[in-house]
Amino acid sequence: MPIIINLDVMLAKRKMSVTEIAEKVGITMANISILKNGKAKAIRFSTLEAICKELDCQPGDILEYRSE
Amino acid sequence: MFVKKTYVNIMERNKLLFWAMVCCRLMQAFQVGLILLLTYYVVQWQLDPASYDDWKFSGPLGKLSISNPIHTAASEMDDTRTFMVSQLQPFSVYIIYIQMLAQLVLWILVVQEFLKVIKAVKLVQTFREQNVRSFQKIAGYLLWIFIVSSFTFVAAGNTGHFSFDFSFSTLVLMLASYILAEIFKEGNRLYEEEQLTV
Repeated sequence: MPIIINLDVMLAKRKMSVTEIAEKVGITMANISILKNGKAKAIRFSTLEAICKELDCQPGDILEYRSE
Repeated sequence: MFVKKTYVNIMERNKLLFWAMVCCRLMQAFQVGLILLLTYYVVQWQLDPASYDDWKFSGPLGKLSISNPIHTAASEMDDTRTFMVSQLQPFSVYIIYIQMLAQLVLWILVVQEFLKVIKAVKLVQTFREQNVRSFQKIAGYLLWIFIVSSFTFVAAGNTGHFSFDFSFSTLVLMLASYILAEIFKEGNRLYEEEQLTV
């Protein structure tokens, strides 16, 4: 998929662990793993909003389009 | 999670599914009984062919029957597709036996796959890959039933009778199974997509 999730990059920038973000956003570790590994088929606006709020960033910082 | 558990309980208590499963089990028991009865007749015919001298066989296979003369009216014997069992060549009897056996076994397998689908629906695992495979298998079995039941070969006396009789209802069922498999495949795709939505 040409959409890349840069969640791990943002987590490293904010010095936050995966467990921490999962707890703060209120999603399971399994779902965070799906997101991090690029296996996700879709992301809800509510999830994106919560992630952006916790990481204090824009959706564009997490999602990136790269042509194949 | 609680909602899903409640839904599972509702589906487990679903009476329609329960009775469908009971019907499937009864059908399987009936089919197994038929296989045993058929095998019993063939074995007994081999041991004592004389006792079947008055019995008659009528085809084609789709409407195939072996009956006792006590329950058969004399006028029915005029049918050109009716043969006395005593006239039948042994290999012809074996072919008919194998044909009937194959059909019954295939129907048992069809019912078995259908049972798997019902069980999955009861567990609220409707749109899963295994159900897609079940419907594809059902369609495959139905195709074989159509092929196996499409011809009749009877060798009686010095003559042989070969005829084709296509059961198109089996083909329609096969087509319906393939369509259901495709619907379930699409459902499975949507389910997986939903599972991978974060």
